[in-house]
Amino acid sequence: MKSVIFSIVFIVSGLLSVIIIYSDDLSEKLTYNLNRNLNVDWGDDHPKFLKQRLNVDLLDLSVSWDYFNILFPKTETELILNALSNIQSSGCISKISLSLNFKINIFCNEIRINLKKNKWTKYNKFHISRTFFFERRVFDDFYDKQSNYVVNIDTTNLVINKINLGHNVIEYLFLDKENMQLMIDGEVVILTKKHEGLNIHTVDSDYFFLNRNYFDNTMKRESTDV
Amino acid sequence: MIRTILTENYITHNKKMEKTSYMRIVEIKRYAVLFLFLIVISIYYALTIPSNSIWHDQTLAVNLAKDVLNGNYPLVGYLHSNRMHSFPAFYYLIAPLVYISDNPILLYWSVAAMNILGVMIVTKYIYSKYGFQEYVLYLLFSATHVSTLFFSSFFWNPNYTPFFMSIFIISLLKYINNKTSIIFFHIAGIVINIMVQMMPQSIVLIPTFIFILFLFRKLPSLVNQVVHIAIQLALVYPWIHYHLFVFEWDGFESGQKLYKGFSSSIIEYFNYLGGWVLNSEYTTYLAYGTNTYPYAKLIDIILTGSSILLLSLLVYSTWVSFRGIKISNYININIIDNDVNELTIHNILIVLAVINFSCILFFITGMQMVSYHYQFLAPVLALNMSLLISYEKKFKKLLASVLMLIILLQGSFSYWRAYSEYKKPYATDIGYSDQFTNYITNNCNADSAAYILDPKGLHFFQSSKGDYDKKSCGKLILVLRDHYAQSKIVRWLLEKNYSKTDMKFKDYLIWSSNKEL
Repeated sequence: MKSVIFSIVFIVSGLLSVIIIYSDDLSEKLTYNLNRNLNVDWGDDHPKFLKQRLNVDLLDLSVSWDYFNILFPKTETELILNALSNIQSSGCISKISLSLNFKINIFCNEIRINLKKNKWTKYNKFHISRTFFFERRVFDDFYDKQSNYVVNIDTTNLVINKINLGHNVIEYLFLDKENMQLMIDGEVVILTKKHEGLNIHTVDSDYFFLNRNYFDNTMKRESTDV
Repeated sequence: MIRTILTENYITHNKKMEKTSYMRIVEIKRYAVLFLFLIVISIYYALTIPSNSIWHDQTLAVNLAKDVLNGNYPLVGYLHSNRMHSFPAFYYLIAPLVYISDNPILLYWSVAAMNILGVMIVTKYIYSKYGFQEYVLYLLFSATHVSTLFFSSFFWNPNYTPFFMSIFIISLLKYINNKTSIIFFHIAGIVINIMVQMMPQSIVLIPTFIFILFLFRKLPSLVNQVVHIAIQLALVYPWIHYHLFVFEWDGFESGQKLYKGFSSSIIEYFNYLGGWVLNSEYTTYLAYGTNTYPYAKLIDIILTGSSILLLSLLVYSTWVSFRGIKISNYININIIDNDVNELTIHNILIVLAVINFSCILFFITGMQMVSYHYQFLAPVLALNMSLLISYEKKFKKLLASVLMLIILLQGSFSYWRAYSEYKKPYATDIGYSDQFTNYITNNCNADSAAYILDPKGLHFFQSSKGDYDKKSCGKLILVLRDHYAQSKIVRWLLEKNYSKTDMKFKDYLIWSSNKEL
């Protein structure tokens, strides 16, 4: 038993020593890999990323960038991703917190979000989007990549459609495969993936993005008929 | 003296008569229980089979069986999701059925009948070897286990596996029992081959089979081993031939990775034990299960609870079995106090525990697993549970109570589900689509068309073939009451564009664009 414990301690200490000695090289390699992965063109229906000085620091468990812009696809204008035309962030540093919950803290000087105008139709206390439809893969892709950690974004300036809302803290995490919780300055919003589409529940009311089938058979048909 | 002899003869005769009479009562009880089992399980199938769907794999299987009947012998079957072709044995086995009829109802019933036959084969063995209690428990478990009942009501390659597994178990036990011949070794091996052809994941049974033979010191002679390998190769030769000489490997890319993660094998094993996949109408590998609205939470507790209880009994049974195995070194593994002339209940529990434990190979390899891949466990679980109760004297009452609770929970859901499927079928189900066609033809003229609305959206179903002297129903929208009750979007779409009619079909509400209906 003692020999087993000794072996484990020896291996772990050896690995830690290697990481510390070669941390600069490893950080450089990670920076290269992250930049390379973000430069991959996944096709017209996937977001594209523009960035400057995106660096990984292994010992500090952090990623920093001068600016990082997400450009959303424009091929299918009615897909929900197009509700956001682009997200720009500048002067940011993200740090990984290895507490009980794996957490990524992102501190930014400014985040700019350009939202496209959305028309709604009302059904009781329900607001159904007339402009965009939802695809489950958008939610599933997001879940696959980010289901295991909490993301906390702290920005000095949050600018939505050129209106500066000042300092904001946004946190999001997946409650399960179907539900994502978003907290904007302490206010809880629940996004639920349903067969019919995406439900966004706020304290005051519910907003809904239909799936493509419902959208085509209702909103799109109406606009075609007109 | 004569009187004494006569009295003794009289007593002996009376004893014999009593024994015969007792045996007759036991036999009557045995057949009564079997008859009851057949009635109950037939009710389950009669309610659920017409409410089943038909998909691409089923149509393709029938077409390939027709090819066999026409003399065009297929070397392989349809493509699996990993883009590899399936083995062909299934299509040859169902060809006689398709020759009789390609009616889906018959084909779906064939799976149910094979499952019942498998259960009867094992129970006959149990009854002859052990007793009435084990026999009843086996039948009870088989008539209630959610996953076993569900899969055996659907026509698909893997769903015949429990029948072949029953034959495998009996052949293996007969072979291990020293008095019988080598033929059972070959039968067991051939049956594994058939199972692997129907469901490749059954391949874990090959090392398991070898290990069990090694454990019981029953590895056959070298000649028999060579003969058996030749039989195995011959059985899969069409598939090998196709991939060696016909298949175009240029540009082939596997559709899936072999390694998928360690969690899926555990979750799906647990899922198979309790059958909780059916507590959801739509899942990834099940086009539609059961709409349990508004009882989903209660059913989740019932199925998860029975999963945990069943797993607990299996873990206990495995511990009871493996404590009888002594491992001296990696080639010297013995069963303690093994009597080669008698196959004890403990020995059978060891065999079953090894088969069940073989599932660990799925975990080690990180293979992609879905609950139906564990179907080979159906007779293993039932036999394990029925024998564990009679073997373990120490906690007999506790174990029996837990098993009864599992049977009650699983049975309650299975038969509730069967009734629900009967009351609320889909218009597209194999037993109801013709009924609906007749309904619309009798009520609407040829200008009318029926659509189905469900939480996923609006889908065209069929046009009416009715005469022009019938009324025009316009665009008919069929929506299940449950979908209407549970989905705001369904209600919104209907109330916005359509009006409710007085027409009714099973549990469907029928709405129409024709406001006058």
